[in-house]
Amino acid sequence: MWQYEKKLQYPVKITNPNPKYAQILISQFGGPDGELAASMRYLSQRYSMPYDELKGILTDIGTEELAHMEMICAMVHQLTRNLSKDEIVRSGFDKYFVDHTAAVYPIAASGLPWRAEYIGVKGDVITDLHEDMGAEQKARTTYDNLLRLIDDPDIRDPLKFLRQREIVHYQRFGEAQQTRCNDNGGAADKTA
Amino acid sequence: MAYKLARCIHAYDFAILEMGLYLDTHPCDTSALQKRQELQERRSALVAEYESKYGPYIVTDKDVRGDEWKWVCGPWPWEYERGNGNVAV
Repeated sequence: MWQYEKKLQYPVKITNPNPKYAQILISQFGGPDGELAASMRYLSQRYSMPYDELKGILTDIGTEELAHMEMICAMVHQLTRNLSKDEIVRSGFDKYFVDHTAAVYPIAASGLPWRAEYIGVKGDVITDLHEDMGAEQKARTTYDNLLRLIDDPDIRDPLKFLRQREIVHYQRFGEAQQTRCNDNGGAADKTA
Repeated sequence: MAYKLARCIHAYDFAILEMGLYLDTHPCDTSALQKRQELQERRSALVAEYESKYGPYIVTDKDVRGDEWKWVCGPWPWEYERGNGNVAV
């Protein structure tokens, strides 16, 4: 089970709404390398993971990804507050608005709704850990791209925090992979 | 000030979480275990200070005051955009 703490992992306080930015940021909620995919990937992989410490790292990182999803959603929410009709139409936000108003729905920047195909849950230690390391780097690249496109410091600050977390998670998955998959000739012979 | 103290507790929360991830892949690192324990103790002291000055830090059953179920009272964590008058905790 989970317990909710009524706080964000890192503060999100945005002064200026900007529906243009919201439309690209939302990819880190419902896009192929977003936080929803990350949490579902790790939390789903736990059940077939044969080693206790790997169940632990998947649980802890999967849980942290839920907190990152909440930060991204808070950013999208704050960027789409109090918009005028003119702002909605001019920014191209009208295509999202017509279906979801200013609610936060999991889609990619392209408009594609979230899909389970974004995640890999293969039931093999080596395969799943490599999936996870790749996923962290893909998320890091996406944050790099967002930081290339977004100038507002209120958004950049939490984005930089999230980008750093991808690097730490990559490191932890890499250590998990090395300790479990190198010294026994491949852990694939052990199943949960 | 409540906000400053809460931010300080959040920083400890983050450090404890980070030590936890490290310990997941280094479960036998006794100095890391010790460090995590120290962080946990310092956090507990800050939470005690916060509660003595400003009331409950985490909403639990003890937050029912009179007829009010305070858990549902905003602002919620995503409602701290600048300029709306909410002070972040």
